[in-house]
Amino acid sequence: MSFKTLRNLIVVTVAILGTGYLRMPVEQRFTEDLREKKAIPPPIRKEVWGQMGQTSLAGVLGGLRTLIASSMNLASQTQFEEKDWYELKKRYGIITALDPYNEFYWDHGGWHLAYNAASWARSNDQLSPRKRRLLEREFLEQGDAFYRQGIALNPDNPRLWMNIGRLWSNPHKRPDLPRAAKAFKEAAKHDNLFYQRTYLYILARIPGREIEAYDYAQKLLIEDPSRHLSRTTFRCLLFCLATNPNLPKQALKIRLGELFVSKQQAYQDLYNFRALSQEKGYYTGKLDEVLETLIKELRIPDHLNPFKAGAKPRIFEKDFEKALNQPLDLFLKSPFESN
Amino acid sequence: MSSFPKTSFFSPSRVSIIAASTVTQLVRMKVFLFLAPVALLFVALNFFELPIYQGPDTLVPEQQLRTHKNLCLGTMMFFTSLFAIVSVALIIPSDVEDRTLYTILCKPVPRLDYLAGKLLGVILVLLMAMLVMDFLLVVTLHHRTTSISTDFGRYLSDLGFQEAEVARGQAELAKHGPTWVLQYGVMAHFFKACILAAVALLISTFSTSTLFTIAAGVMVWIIGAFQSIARDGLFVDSFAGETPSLADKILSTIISLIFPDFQLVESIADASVRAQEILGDDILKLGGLTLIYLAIYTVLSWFVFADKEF
Repeated sequence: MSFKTLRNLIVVTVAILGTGYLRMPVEQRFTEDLREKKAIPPPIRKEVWGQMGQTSLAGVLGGLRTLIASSMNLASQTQFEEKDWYELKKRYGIITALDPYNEFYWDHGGWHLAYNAASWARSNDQLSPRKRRLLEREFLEQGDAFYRQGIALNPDNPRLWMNIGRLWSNPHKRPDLPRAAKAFKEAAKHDNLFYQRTYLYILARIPGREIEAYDYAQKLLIEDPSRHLSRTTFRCLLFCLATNPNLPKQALKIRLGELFVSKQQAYQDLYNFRALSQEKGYYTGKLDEVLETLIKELRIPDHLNPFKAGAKPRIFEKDFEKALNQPLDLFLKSPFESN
Repeated sequence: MSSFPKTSFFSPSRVSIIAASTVTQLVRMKVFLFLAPVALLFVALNFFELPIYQGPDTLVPEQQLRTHKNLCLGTMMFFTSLFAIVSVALIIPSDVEDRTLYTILCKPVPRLDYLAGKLLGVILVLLMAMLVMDFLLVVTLHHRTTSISTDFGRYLSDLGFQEAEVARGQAELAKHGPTWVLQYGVMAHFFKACILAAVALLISTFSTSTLFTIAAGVMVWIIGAFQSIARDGLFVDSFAGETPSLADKILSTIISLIFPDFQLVESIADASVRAQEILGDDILKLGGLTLIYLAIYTVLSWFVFADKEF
């Protein structure tokens, strides 16, 4: 190496180090600023580095973290089809380390564990019933834990709380309604009417929490009456919760006419709500008494009488109109008494 | 006695002439042919679907758009970064080989003008390539967003959601379509390619072989992607969960001082894919940093190139 080349190298190196010294704090501040805004993901954990294959390492080193996460997510379909749950979990560990602020991966990874893996364990004939139960429980808990890891990194996002709530309220899993209610409560703290109603519905399914459900329904009603009341289930549930004999005396009683446009409409909605409650387990209060009164008043035919024809799937407006031989849009002049 | 007009230290017009000739030189190398497979890939992505819908607040439609953007932006980043390094690595040796360099430097053209012109020429070609790819991205993503949004709206309507709620869901989905925020990601990748071109220019002034310039440029690209991990170790208490040793600290310091930080670029591009609306000021800061890098590497390249003999 000639003297000139060596001199140039030394000068260039010193200049780069010098300018690097000046720009380093600026870049660090910028990094911290972006980290605060959640644009920069947290550093990849040591154990995840060890689990990464060549492709994912190359992706990270080439600055293609999210691209590799996308392609690994697509490739994980293979582990799903082969029911290789432990490998699948490992893969989602890497995927979520590469792109931790993409809630889809937390949602999807948790779904694979809590639904697919748990269902596989539950229906696996090759295992003993005890082993099946244990394995299913293990995958359910792993799914729950996976969702919670996602929540820790994405606390502003209520969807993962909703997933936990749905998991523990799913009748085809191992329902644990109080646990589901805790999760739905967290989701309901975000300004979303659907999530808030979901929390109300789960409260109304837990025996002993009907008064809490009624109070919460009142709160929702005060916050946004028109949009909540536009939902039939909300109206019916509110009506049933208000018939609870254990409510404090000062609790606001709700009349049927305040929630439904006509007696016919009330009957149809409450009939359907009764069928839904039998499936979901909502609190019904004095619903049967009210229905019986309406049956007499409206002269409901036997095939639409749940006490005579038995529980049926929901009835639709046109069937109901046809059966009663009159339209349902008969607005009543004044609210009518019900309970 | 006639006197020669004094040559100015730096002339934007000379730089622009050299830049224009560099653009012609690169176009003649048929560099834009790589846009054909890129276009094919972007169009093909429109036929790609994630199969599973999981309920009214499903994330699948968003993820389909994110995957589309990820693959497109990743491809753009890969091609422009590689193109930046390779084209700069080729351009000075090519000038020497076909003796164009001598005809330029025997005229009153300062070497700084020559280097700046070459770099600007490469950056202009990068810009043109980026604009074409960006156009393809926007068109294909718009088509994809429209089609997914229609399907999603139908799906929500079938579930019994009211018109207003369906519109809200579709508006949420539209944030993942071709927005200004996405353009910040494209800009971030363009800045990265510019920095890599400047790095390759500096290396090529030392290097005697094109291969070495390319290899060294790619190494800077790779190390730059995790430079911030090393720097974090100096500023933050723990390094990958452990207290760094003295050797770690020295190595981290050297890496942090020498190499550019590409994680800043990547994080802004990734945030734009996630449609995070926090990037207006950040892209300006990143642009400022890019200019600083370009200035540093160009001046250093000039220092080395100034007394180089051919």
